Amino acid sequence: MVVAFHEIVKKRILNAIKSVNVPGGWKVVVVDDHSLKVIESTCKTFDILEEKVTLVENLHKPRQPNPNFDAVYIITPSPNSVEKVIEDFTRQKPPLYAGAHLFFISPLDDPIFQRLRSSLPPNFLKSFEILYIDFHVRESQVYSFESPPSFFKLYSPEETPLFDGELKRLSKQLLSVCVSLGEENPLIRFQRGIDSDHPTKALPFKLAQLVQAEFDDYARNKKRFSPPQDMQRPRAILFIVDRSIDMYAPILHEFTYQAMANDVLQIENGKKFTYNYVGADGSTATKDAILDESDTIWVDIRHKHMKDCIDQLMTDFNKFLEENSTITNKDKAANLNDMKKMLATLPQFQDMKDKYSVHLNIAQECMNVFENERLPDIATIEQNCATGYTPDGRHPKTLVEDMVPLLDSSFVSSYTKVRVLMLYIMYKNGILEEDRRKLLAHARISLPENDAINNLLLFGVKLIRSPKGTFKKSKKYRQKPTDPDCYEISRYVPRLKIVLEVRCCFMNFIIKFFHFNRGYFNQMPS
Amino acid sequence: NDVGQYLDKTEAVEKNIDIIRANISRIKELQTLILGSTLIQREESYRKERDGLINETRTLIFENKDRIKQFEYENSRLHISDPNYELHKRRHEFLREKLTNAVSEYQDVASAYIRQQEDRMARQYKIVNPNATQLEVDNYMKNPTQPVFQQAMLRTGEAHSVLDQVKKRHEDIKNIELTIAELATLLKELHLQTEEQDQNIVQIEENTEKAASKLGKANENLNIAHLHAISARKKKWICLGILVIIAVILIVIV
Repeated sequence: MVVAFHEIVKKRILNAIKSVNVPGGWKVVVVDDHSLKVIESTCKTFDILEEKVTLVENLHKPRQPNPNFDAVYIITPSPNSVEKVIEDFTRQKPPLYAGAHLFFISPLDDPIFQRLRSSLPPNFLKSFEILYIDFHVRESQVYSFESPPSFFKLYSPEETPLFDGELKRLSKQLLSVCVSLGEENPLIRFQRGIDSDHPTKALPFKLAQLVQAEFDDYARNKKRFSPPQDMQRPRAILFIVDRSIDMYAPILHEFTYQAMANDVLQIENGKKFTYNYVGADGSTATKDAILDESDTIWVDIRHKHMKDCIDQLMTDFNKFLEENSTITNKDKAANLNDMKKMLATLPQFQDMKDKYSVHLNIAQECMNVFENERLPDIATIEQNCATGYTPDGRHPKTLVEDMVPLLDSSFVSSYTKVRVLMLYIMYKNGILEEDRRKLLAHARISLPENDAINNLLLFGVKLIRSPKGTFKKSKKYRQKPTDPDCYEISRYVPRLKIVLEVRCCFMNFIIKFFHFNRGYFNQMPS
Repeated sequence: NDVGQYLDKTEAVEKNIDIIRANISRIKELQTLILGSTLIQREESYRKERDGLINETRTLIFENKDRIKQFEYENSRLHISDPNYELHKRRHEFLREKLTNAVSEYQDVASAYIRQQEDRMARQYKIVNPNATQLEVDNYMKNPTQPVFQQAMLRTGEAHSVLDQVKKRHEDIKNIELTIAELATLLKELHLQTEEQDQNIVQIEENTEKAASKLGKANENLNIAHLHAISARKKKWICLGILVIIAVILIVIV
């Protein structure tokens, strides 16, 4: 049975608060900035207040002393936060709270733990637990570490000193994810670098090692070397891959609803969308919409292709209007009964209407960009590059001829041009210096954008092909011809999906016919 | 102490809201049973239990709404600098949200029931008058006590009991509609926060007064500063004069 990830984490947090039994029953919850974000990704303040919590306070802001209540700290194990907790009980008399129940979102480093043990008066420390929730739940089956700087720390040559620390941090967070999912001892599979001279070839390997070490540590601390195996369910597999597994997917234009909206519109952190709307009196105003799990329409359609999405939105919206025909039919002489009904359903009606309006707005704006930026043409070229085939299954021969008018066009943003160029270079496995200069001249892209193309080198992409004769033909990746039912502009299948699908079939096979033992496969075929 | 008392009082309200929610889910259950039952007697007994619950829930909702409003009123008299201001406010908001959620859930349950019951009535009308047009059905739904069934009675004997049922259901729907309308007004009331806004206005006034008096003081200080600056400038000139004289004297001597 699949349980939504955010429900699992929410339960962990609320259970932690519930587990604190204090005389009188009332407690204060104290969080810090980072842990607050983690908590907010799954719980509302309302949920927390339902657990006999009087207030949710921020550790780093001035707080009201509550010497009668115990405090439930749900915090990051950073030196900063731990010092603050110690201060709460040592700075003044009487201390801020009657007692401290410490819940850390991830394991503490030893020096911090020692500092806490030596400085916090033991009679105040009522309980201590590690929750393993140091990550953000984005969707019912998606998590994120919300850490864009990681990308630079892992790949930028200028930030190599930060590489090891970053990997260490990521491995701790991955431990949190697995433990929260109830997988205390997964098999770890990692991606092998594509080429031996690949600059990041060791990244998944190094990370896999660190994660394994974290799990071993975890098992040792828990004194549980062999967790009871659930016979119904084989050991989970943790796949560790890095960006180089699939350089096409992030650059392509995606046309599923969520992906496209995030790509072509301004959506803050994937969640907050600001839009203009025209009110009943013709005035315009801007409104913010929050796109999250509570928006049923969003949850329902976000992973669907834009076309299906618009169709569904239209039918659903019309159905919705029909259901509420008493309100929408203005010329129909409403009798008293109808009026009463209208009055009662009006707030819910308004609520749903607003939601539909948000999504109709997003869809509309996406389609505007789609038309204005000539995305159908762009996407066809992109798909041809990424899959290595034209829609009718032939090798694309006229790529450059198709591409040049678009590179010249002033309707296409240079951002899009850069993406097309990147895909072309990857498809060709590097192009001639001469050709590149010509293409860049057509596209008239800026220097930083040129740098962006050059940076593909850091992911093992070949940019320049030496003149004919000297170059050794290397095997290019070509996707197998796709099934004819999919949309022409969405033919590409992300490689991770292929890997996982193959793996799943393979695993089912193995489980059916072979006995399982640890370390059966140490490397995942790349 | 004060905070403890307040918390106890809010907890009592919270427990009541839990009872309200339990009632609502029982009402929902009963309504499914009513809609699905084929025996008139059993339907009657379900309906009785449900009506009892509706009354109880109604009283509870209104009582607790008043208590929450009372909290709001009491809180509005607290000053923002009161150490427990935040706690009081948070607790009140929490209760308000909890009650609001319960009431909207109740509304949903009630309107779903009406919809289903109406569907059923329309179906029955069509059984009696198999050739009815949609318009006729709509007209009938607006006033289901029309003598349709008397006419039909001449044709079938069964229609009599059906008429009875239909009348009852119509009454039932009317009652539930009343409940829904009542809940709607209640929700609006819950969202009105006049008292608190008053409190804000008082605070704004206070703050403005403070700001005004501080501005006055600042002006005074500025005036003083101005005077000081003038005298300082004057002294600088005097200094310069003295220096020039000394220099002249030195030159003369040398």
